[in-house]
Amino acid sequence: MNYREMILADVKTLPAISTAALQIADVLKDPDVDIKDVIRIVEYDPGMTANVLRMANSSYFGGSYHIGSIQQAIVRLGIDKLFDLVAVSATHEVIDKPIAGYELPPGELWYHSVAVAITAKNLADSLGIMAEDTAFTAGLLHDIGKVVIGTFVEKDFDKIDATAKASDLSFETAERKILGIDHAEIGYAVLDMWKFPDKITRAVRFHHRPEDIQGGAPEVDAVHISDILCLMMGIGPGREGLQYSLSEEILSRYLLTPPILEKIVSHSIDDMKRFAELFGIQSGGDNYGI
Amino acid sequence: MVSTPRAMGNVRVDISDMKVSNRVGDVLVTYALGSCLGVTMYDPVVRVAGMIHCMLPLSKVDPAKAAKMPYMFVDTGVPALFKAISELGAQKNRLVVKVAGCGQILGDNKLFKIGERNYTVLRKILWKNDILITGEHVGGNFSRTVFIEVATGRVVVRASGREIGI
Repeated sequence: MNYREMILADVKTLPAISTAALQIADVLKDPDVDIKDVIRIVEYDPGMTANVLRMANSSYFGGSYHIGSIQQAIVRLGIDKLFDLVAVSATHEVIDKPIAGYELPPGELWYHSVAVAITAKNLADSLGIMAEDTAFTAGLLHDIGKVVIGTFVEKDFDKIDATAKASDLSFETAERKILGIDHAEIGYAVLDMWKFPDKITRAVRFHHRPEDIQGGAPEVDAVHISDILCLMMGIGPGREGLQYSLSEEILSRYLLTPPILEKIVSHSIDDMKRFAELFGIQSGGDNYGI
Repeated sequence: MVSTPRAMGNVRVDISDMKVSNRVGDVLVTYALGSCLGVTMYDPVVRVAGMIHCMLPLSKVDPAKAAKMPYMFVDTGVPALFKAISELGAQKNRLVVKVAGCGQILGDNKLFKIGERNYTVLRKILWKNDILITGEHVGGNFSRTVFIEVATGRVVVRASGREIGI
């Protein structure tokens, strides 16, 4: 078994996630989805229901009046947002852990994931790119592969790092050279195993090379830009630091200039803090390895 | 190898945040400066330390946000740090100013050098105030964590697993 196969085999060791997220993703594929089905699926899982209501009542969503049921949450927030919250609740336990190799302390990958989700959504909204329904969840899950590949990166960190530095390669390109696979493709394998919708799995797979998608895909672009922005702002960079690149092609596709991006960042940071408070986490911490 | 300052009271400076202290047991710390700018100021006579963690260079991109969160921007945050540290008795002519952060991602995208622009705006403000930078650890593809010890003014930067006194 080569390295790549060994890492891919480790995907299967991840715990199963709540089936509610997948069932909802599945029923939402139907344009004539029956809301009653969605409510039934979420309410079948009491933990999920409690989590979704807690988030729905947070200051991030305005919280002007109390949302007491999944039905009210759908009416107030819309079905897409409900799916975002279900995805958050379903994946929280898997992502919210310390990550070896990248040396991310407990909570940091989770905070980074939430930050990229929020920034991707804000970016999609403010640019009017048609990715509102997927940008958040794709952003939330983009680095889930790090949970699996982290221990392999840990073993070979020096080799990967040296390879990246020797030829000015981005870190994930060096991961592919040394390990035969990178965290983005592993993330794709994880989400494919969990049967997430194609748009989301594709965004995760290509989040470091969005220009490889023929014709482009707005949700991939939104996640790509947001990931790099959040790393630059110091939200979730690991031991590899800022050894990543931002696609010029994508920036010019949306005519993005520094003031536009900076305004999106300045707006997103508040949202992130409010959302992160729900999980009692902040970026950084005494165990931060970098 | 420089030992990382550890104190009874580690005072955390968040993103877009500023802290000042004259309690000798305190260590001010900010984690994971990417392209953000970290500035420490210290007056050794009154033993007052201050630290700021600014995200973006200029407040004009979002004046409403700057009014609410002045520490987010270099041009509104650094003057606020001067003011806060003077209120604790620090004097401008004695200030020891050190800088960390301002990293960048790979590539040569001129449009997108937030770190470099953060640094330039800081230099302008310090120049106008006749203040020199005493130590710095800036640029590169690093993320950095910075500490300043109130008792001594010692500043330590942690980057890529190494610790460096500046």
